Amino acid sequence: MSVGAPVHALDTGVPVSFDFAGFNLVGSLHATNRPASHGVVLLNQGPVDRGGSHRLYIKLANELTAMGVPVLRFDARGVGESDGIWQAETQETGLSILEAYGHIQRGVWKDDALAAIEFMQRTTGVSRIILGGLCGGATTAVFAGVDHPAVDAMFLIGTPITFSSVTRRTADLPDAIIERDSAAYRRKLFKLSSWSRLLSMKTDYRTMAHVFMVQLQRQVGRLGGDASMPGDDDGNINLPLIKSILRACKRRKRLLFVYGENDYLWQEFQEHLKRFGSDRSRLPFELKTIPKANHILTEASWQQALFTSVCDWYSRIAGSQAHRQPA
Amino acid sequence: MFTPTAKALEEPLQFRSGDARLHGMLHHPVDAQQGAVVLCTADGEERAWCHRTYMFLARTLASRGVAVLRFEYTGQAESDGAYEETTLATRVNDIAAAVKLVIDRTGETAPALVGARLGATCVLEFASKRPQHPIALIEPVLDTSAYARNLLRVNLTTQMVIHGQVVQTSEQLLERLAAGEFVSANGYLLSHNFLEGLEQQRAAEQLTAFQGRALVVATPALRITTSSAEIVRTPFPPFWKEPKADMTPPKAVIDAIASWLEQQVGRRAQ
Repeated sequence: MSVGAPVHALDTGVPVSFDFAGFNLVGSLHATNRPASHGVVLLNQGPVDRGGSHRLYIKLANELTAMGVPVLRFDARGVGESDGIWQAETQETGLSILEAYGHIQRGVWKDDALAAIEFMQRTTGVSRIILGGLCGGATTAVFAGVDHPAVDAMFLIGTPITFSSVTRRTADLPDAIIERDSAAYRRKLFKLSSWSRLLSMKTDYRTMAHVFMVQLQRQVGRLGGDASMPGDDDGNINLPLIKSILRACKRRKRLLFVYGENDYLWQEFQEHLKRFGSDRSRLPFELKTIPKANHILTEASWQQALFTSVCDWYSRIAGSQAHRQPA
Repeated sequence: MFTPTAKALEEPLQFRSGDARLHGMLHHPVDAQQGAVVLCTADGEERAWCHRTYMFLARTLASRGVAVLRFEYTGQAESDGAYEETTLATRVNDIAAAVKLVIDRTGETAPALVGARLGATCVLEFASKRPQHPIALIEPVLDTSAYARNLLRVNLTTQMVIHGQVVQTSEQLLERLAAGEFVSANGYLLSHNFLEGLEQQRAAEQLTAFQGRALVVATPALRITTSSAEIVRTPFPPFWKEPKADMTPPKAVIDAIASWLEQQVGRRAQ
């Protein structure tokens, strides 16, 4: 929870801008002075500017440029310093953040990412591209990269496999979260302070009741032979994303998934792993988890684990590309 | 899904503050220049969530003829440097560098300053020695000591989520800080010097003593000491935090700032 690591002053690259469909998109380009096999484009994690939470993208860009890899970070329409406002923002009702996440998870920024790829190629001269991002950035990467001939690989951090607009309902939470919360309530049975809260009406009775109700329903469902994995008719699941991931794998694009083990999106992802193969040791992509880490990787050691995973993975891709190129 | 924003030229800039290269964006006025403003952001995690509101505010002001400089402090967002090496003093120095840039670029001798949250605290510190600058403060952090405690509380909350319990108490964190280590609050590394500066800041007293032209836009909950500042009380969501629902920037705040700045320009013309 505290670190004594040496201070690293970060380089933030050079401000750039490019046009997309009449919108001026603003970015930061981390150029390198040696030729690279690939350029990396980082995609907004959500309605947060191109530096990412606690400048995670800037830190990551610094790690990659140290390896000689040019990196473009940019703001899509309606976020950061780029042009455009969400149409819903001009109306009386405004725009809810869950709506915004929902649109991002359906690929609203795909075309912005395609414009960024074109800009990256034109500006730096790299021909091959790797896309990456956290959360909403991961979904944008998949939608933009799956059919793009220049995109060889994508690294996907904390990828939401369900839609944010509905995951707030207790009934939509993954089994692991329901089990954890229910166990926490059961442990509280033996705590005097918890009984005091219960009797003084400070307990959130509704949430507690929902947790036990959902747990019971799922246990009964399993007795009745229901599969543990949610079905395709569950509107909560981002099926277009899952299909795009599968299509990317079929096209031999290299995918790296990274999750913090304390990220509830990791619990959700595990419940859907069977969609990508019955044998977990032979998944069509690489999967790394970071022990104890949360969704946005707030601790320095978790960030270091991410950087190591991404840089090692990149080295393997660049290496295999180097083997391929002479042919 | 998106509508282009009718707006004037927005010019990215890089300028120096001490050893650091800072990032800024100069929003040129749409028509004839009617004054100039430096927007000073909130800090750390709060800065990130403020960003949209600041963009709206900058574009609104530019559309009304005001030249606006938005910029980032050393070690934050697109500015170079390390967050953990910065203090309140470096933030105030960054504001001074931004003001100088605006004076050079616009010819305005005393541009106004707008700050939100800890940015407002820094604006107050800067202007307390330079009262010729009109200042507008949005939900200013007047109790910086409580603000510092809240930052440490973020670390404790993270410990609870990760470990199910607090493994390092506030006192232990403070000891580590005193020994030269850093403590994370939502990924921003806090240093002893930064927290010490927050403990020593006397923002409420500075507001009371301030004799220049000042506006405070605050929610009804904010405690404000006696002041000659014009105070606008209006309910608005905490746009410096991750929105729970509506993420649309608060129109009431933007309108209050824009109207007040127009009055300042009118007063100057008289």
